[in-house]
Amino acid sequence: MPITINKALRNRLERIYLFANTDYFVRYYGSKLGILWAFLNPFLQIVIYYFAFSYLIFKQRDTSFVLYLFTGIITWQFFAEASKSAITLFQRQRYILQNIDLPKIDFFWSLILSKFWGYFINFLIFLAFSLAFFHNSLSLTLLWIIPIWIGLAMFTIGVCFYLATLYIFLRDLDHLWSIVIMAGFWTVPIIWDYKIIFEGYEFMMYNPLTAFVVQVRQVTLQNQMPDLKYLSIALLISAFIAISGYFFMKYKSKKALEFL
Amino acid sequence: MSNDIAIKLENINKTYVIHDRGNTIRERFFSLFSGKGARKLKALQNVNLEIKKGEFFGIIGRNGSGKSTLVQIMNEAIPPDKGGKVTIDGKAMRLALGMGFNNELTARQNIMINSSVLGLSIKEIKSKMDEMIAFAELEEFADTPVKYYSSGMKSKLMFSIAVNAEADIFLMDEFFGGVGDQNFKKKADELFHNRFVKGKTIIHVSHQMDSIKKYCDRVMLLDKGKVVKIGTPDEVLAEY
Repeated sequence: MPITINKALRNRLERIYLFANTDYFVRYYGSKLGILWAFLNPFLQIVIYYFAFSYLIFKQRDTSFVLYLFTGIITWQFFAEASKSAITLFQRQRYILQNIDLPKIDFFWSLILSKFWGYFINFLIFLAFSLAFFHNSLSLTLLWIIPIWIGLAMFTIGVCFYLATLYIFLRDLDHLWSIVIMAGFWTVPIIWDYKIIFEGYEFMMYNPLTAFVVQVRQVTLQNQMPDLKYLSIALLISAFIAISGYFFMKYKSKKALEFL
Repeated sequence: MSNDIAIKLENINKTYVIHDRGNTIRERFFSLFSGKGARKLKALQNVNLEIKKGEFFGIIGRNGSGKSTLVQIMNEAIPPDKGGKVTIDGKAMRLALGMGFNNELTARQNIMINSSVLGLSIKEIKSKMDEMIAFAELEEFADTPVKYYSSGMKSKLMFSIAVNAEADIFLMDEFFGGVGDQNFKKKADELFHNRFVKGKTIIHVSHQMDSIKKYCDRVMLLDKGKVVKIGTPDEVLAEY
């Protein structure tokens, strides 16, 4: 029976969804509370930050710092978790890759989708806290989050393409990347305020992750439009990383699969 | 390539570069500077072959003769050396019973994922789900994580999934080895030949000469990466 293009495309999208779904939910199988942990985790994270920053560390600090910190952390976590998972992606899927000629990019879509669901649930918890306890309000400005997320996803998938392919040749990469992630956490304004630190160091805004973290806060916490200049630059850099990463993965992984 | 050819291989060579490494930290450290440790292994040498559509083609040879490398090249999972050309008309898929299950998932969940990889839509998988579970004789354990399955149960489940795969060309690497008991083997054999094989091109790699003799239209004998003979099963087996 001939396989039509439409059916092939539909099957492909379904496969991406199934892989993402499994990747996301499998971590909760076997635990008593199951998927409830996906909501409990960020909820408890915010509660802990609230008590830590309200009573223990910075007694005088504005409690909205909790939301400032949380938006930075969840945005960073999306990138960190996806990139760490991408390193061994080809290794984990080697059976399928060696036997069935599927588009390799689909594994990356699934990975990003799976991590994005986690990020999205965290974001919903953040919004709920923001509205319920910090008296923030929703407005149409929040829609600017969409291009920011697209940019974040582009940048992340681009980095994932490079990491997954390089790991086949360079097995030290997972150890090295853990250090990069650790260092990266402190170079992106997650805990600290970029307005204070950045005098004379504006070039750091050209790190797309810095731009995305700052713009997410601007849209959600300050209810303001993103800085279009920085956002456009971040989007362009992210698109470049994504496209160049895709071609790098496409051309290098063919030969590289022998080494899996 | 003429219309009745499913796979055409021209001038296929495959050389692996093997990197030997020391076991101790000292050996590994010094191997970084010595330049030693890389050697070449010729897995295939000048293989030329045409397989017709609908043909049941067998590949035999001793361990290390290049059978699996050839199948991976036919499947375009790995490229041949420069100058070699692989032409495939149709969707090819390699099946082996050592396929990957996610041990945390149940039989139903693994059927969903694996069948999707093998080309079925979610709707088709749902409609065939009970049939696949019944065929694998796993009704009682359909919702049990496969980490609790024996290797026999896993093999039966994988066979049951694989025979529903959608492709024009199937590359089967020791696909029949050790699937279940005699009753299951008989049932699997019937399903495979009455439903699965019809109208498809099959490349069958096996050490089991009875299945090669019984099913193959033509057989190729490989030795140390070279084609020794291509012919009818009787002709080739006489030389093996």
